[in-house]
Amino acid sequence: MKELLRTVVLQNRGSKKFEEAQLYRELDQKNFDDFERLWRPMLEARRAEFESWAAAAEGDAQDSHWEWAEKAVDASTSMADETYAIECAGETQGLMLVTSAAFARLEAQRGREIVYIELIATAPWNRPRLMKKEARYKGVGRVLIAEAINLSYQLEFNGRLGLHSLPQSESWYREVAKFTDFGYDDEKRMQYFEVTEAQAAAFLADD
Amino acid sequence: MDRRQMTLMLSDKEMTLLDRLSQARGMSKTALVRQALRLYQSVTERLENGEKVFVEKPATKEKTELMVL
Repeated sequence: MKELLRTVVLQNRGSKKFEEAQLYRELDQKNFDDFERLWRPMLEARRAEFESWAAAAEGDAQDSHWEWAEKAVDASTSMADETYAIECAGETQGLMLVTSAAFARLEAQRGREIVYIELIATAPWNRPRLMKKEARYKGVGRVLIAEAINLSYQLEFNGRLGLHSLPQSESWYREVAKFTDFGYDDEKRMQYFEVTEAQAAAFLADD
Repeated sequence: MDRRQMTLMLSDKEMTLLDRLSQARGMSKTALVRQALRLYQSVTERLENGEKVFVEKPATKEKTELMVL
């Protein structure tokens, strides 16, 4: 059942003011409806402007094919999976799916338990490259990743985290979040990033 | 999240193993048992969905299929 975890703040890029947002564990019909009615048309329209999936990185639309409702329903029956949503101004601003049935690859923590982010996305109107003009809210991804790190602490994984990044997001994980770039994963055909205990603590301290 | 309590009776051997694993993995016994449950469910679901789970020896690349009965 959908549960309010806490109130967080997102910065409105237009007014520069911080607005209250709600962070929830487990998605509900409102989130699915927002995705279908609001997110999907914008994502698909932007994706259609590019000839290939690779080229769509420029428009921040490489996730236009993600089926959030299907994934969230599957996750709801699994103890290892959790879904999260951020809502602000009455609309779903971000979504995340994580699993705790995963293990680290970095030599320093190889084989240790991690929280693995399966899917993470901010609403299309929050993406400057997708909008081609000023986007709405800043900080959605940071709030969701911080929550994944919090979950890692709750499960006693000490903040350890892993994720595969779409090409459109690689530079953010590498240069802004400062996660360790483990290299290209041939199986997933994406870059794999991992977060050590020290990096997790630093990420939360920056929050 | 609601929590429910249960008493778990373990043999000496099982308790020694639980002690050793929780120490090695830097987790409390409770956290380790919870994680074991999540992994067990994850593996079982994959097998029920027709997926196969393998263990691979890094040196020889020999794969052994994991069966859960």
